[in-house]
Amino acid sequence: MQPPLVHLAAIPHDPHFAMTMKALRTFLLPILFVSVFLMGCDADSTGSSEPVDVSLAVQGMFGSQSLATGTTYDHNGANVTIEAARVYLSDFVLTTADGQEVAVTSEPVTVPAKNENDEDITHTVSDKVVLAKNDLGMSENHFGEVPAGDYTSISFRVGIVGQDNRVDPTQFPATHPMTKQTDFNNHWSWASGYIYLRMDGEVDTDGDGAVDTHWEAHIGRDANARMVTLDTDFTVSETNNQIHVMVDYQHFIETLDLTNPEEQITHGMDNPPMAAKVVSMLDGAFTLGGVHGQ
Amino acid sequence: MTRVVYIAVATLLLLSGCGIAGPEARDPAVLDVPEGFDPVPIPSHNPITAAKVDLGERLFHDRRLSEDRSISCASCHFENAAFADPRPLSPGVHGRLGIRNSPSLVNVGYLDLLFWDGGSFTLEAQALAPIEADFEMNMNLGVLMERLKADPAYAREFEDVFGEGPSVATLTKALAAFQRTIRSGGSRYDRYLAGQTSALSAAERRGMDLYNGKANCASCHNGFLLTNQAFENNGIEPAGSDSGRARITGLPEDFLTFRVPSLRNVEKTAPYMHDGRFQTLDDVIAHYDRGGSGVRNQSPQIQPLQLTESEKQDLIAFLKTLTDDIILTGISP
Repeated sequence: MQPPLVHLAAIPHDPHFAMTMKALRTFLLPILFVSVFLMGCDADSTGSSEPVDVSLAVQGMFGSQSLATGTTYDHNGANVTIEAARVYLSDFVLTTADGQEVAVTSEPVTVPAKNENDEDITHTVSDKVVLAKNDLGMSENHFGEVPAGDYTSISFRVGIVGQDNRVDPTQFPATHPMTKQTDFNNHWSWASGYIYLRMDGEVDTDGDGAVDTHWEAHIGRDANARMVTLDTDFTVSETNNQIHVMVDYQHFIETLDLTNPEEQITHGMDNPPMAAKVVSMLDGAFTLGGVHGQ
Repeated sequence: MTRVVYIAVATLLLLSGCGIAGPEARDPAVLDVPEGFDPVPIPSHNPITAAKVDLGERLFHDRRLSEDRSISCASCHFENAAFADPRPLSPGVHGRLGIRNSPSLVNVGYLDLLFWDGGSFTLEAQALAPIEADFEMNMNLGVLMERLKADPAYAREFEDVFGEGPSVATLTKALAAFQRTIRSGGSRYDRYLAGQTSALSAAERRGMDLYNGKANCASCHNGFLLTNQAFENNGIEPAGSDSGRARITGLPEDFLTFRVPSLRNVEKTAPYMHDGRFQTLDDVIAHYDRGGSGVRNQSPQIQPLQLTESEKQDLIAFLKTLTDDIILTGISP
């Protein structure tokens, strides 16, 4: 949407009036234009609509069923349960109908970190990061302000990369998604990196119907992060301000045979083939469930 | 034992620009170090205070940090072994063994990266790895926080030190602050370097010359810490699936590389190597004299030394002069 234009050509000539209007053009009009372009502090946009406070809901699924811990699911013919189901999402960008990109950011937080030369630095995290803890149910997250209007896609990264992934997680505010979690570990203290995808559960390996063996798939490292783009038209407005993303956790483990001992545990480097199978499915597990009121 | 901690009170100018408010800013400290040592790096977000060090030391010795309340940090870092472990592998809860020897914590505050493979970036974050590892303390952080909060003395101490109760942030800060005070220096070798030529015997001086020359130890074990902190493959044959730093980086050039340890107090820190496979310094010298095992990615610096038996003994004699007077002596486990 183009900014409104103020046409002055039809105003009659009067020197005093002209001086007054010159003052107006000099001072008032820029203020008017700036106020039209002012966006919410959480979005960096070349659009011009009024900012809308938006939330992001991430719903965990297991195939066509809502994901819930304590539920026994059929996975490739074997009974499985889910104890942990969490995923890190970052680098959110919404694309408007006229092709402009709106990057979503968050309140900056500065923490100790190491640069790529392993030198001590401090690093400011300003990217919007979401930790969807779907083992606890629907993950609802304040997204920030984005311009109201029509959009054609939302993209994000599965994972945390670069300098954001070289920080000390123990020194974030307790409510920050990148802080060291105290229930299910979200960061490898022994390897200094975030666990992008964490799935833990049990599987029935002896075919008696009861789950009996633990399995876990923990995926991290920059090289395993994946970008996801959901191309769907949607509109953001004051009454349409919750973006609903669905993540199918079964899709992540679709190609795994959890009854096979060689496909039950991976933390990446300790079982690369299993990790590779999971990584190959990262970007296909997400769908946009819609944008609606909160 | 009497703890001797040299603490000098710094002015608030040290904290200018840090934006730190509250109890931690009241009595910040600077750690004295032996002559010839760099200052201990102290991050601005975790200044040293006497109260914080006291709290960290108490936590260091507290077995409640482990799942079954049987293991504390001090259970694998023995003060009388230069805060290392005289066992090749340290047993964790339920007698579980890991794959690496517990390294010495003396002068740990100087290290850029922690663990044999450099997997941890900061001393603060490092503490969580053994706490969480199922073969070490196997502790859920949420349960640990509840244990600490349930102790009125801890609740009071954390509040006094940090202005808030136990949390992951304050727990790791306290432990790191204590560990930064574990410093050593003042060995006979240091005294020799300072000009006291009588500090080393003739055999020890011959050993020193071998260390810096024919034996090529100083190519990696140099500087005031007697380590360049690089990651090297010193020709140790792999045991099991441990790939060293490659486990962290995934890079083939890091296969079987491990952090070069400091040789300060090496007389006290047996057994040796990342998995404690060598019981004596004689074993270590024999390994290097052979030129390593020729394992894939072995450093080209590891070559046969062709040391005589007399030279080996002189070298070992010199290594024993690297034993320091530990500045911090704490509470026995």
